[in-house]
Amino acid sequence: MNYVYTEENRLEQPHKYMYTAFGGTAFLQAYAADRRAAIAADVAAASSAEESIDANLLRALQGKDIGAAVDALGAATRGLEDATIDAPPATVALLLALAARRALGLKIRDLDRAWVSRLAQRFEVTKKLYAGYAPGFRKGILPRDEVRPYWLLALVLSLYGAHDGRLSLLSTLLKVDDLLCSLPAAQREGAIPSGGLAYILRQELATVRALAAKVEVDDGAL
Amino acid sequence: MALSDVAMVAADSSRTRAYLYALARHDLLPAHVVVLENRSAELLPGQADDKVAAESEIARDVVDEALAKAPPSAKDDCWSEVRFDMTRPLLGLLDALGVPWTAAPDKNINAPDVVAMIAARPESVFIYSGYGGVLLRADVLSAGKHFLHVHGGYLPDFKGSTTNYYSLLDEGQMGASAIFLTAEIDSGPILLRRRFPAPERRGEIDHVYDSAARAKVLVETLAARAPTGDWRPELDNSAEGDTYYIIHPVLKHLAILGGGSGA
Repeated sequence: MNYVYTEENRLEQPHKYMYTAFGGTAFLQAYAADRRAAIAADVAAASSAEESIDANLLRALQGKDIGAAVDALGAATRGLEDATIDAPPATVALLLALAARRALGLKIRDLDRAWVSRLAQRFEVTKKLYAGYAPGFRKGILPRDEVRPYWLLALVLSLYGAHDGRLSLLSTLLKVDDLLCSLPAAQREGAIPSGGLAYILRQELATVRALAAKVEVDDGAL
Repeated sequence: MALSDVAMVAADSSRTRAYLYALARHDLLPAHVVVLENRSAELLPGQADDKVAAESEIARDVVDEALAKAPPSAKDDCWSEVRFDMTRPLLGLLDALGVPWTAAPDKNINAPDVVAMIAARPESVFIYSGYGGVLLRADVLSAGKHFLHVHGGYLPDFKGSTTNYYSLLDEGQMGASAIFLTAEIDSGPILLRRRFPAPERRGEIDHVYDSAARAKVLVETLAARAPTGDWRPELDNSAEGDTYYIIHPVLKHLAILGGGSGA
């Protein structure tokens, strides 16, 4: 059985996920195999030489020393400070701020949760994430096909969803990860830091396995 | 016996059939049905295809006796409304039940002609059984009617879509809640809500058990409210609950295959 949700480019052909068919444990095996293949490919292509805020964000989340780059992450968190629905910052600034707060071990605030929920809602309603939104945070006004925001969204969903145990965010994360895995490697290059896809997919698989164990689904399927 | 002040706006879906079978069994049929027919070849969300019906172990057993009056014991059986024929032609079913119906000019409840048709009806309460993914817009919500909707989930905890799967993962149980529709999704005042245990055949939640849970709550709501016309809510629905979006198939599979409490 193939895992069909990554077979087409989901930036170009979004999936609505309505009334999806039941495929038994074979489906879960196909999903896990698809994710493991994507992890392996990303690990094989990884290089440690990258220096970007996203790369340092990833290193910080992995518990590695990032030296002076911690100041840049601290600065990134300020992207949330003046953010309102009526004056929303660029999507990347919002996402970086949310991710950086977790990377720096800062306490999650209701404000942070509200933005995570809004960003998830925007993606769920349109299956797209725009680089910017008009006041009101409903209408997207900047490009929607840049890959980097989707990776940052997946990272944020993973960090906040896992912390709060929110199934709704896990479901959205799975869809965003389907989108990222559906893209050709060349489309992800330069948009996701080295090893960044593998990182979020490992987190996702671990969360899904934990949930499977909790509801007594045979872990061998995953 | 028809409820004189209650009509129905109905998609040609498995849920509509569940509702009609349940209402017939309990003598609570609506006075009139506005049918949102899907005249295209492509099925809409909520419509069961032949494969679903053929694979359903429950649907296989349904015969006309499923329309017979419900026994008193049905009150205590949470899954009493599970037996209905999900593929029986809707218009034929309405005719067999003696329920007057009108085909809407469009399958979209928000289309101006459909709104006008609903507004012109004399009944003040409309049971809403629409196609999946459709939200009622301002025009139809301000047509002067109360739209009685049964959400497939226990409100206010589980708002949004496919919530019974999330509920199974989180709590090991399902729910259904009767509300009057408002502009805000799943936020109307709650008329009645019930919890349901995890069903035996979780692979049939989409078209059978979710529909049966909603039909059960619909019957109980109408039985309690329609004869008196007292539609006062049982409780407010303003509390914040998480809003859920269409569940990803991986999580749906865990909900179907799971057997633990999830708690």
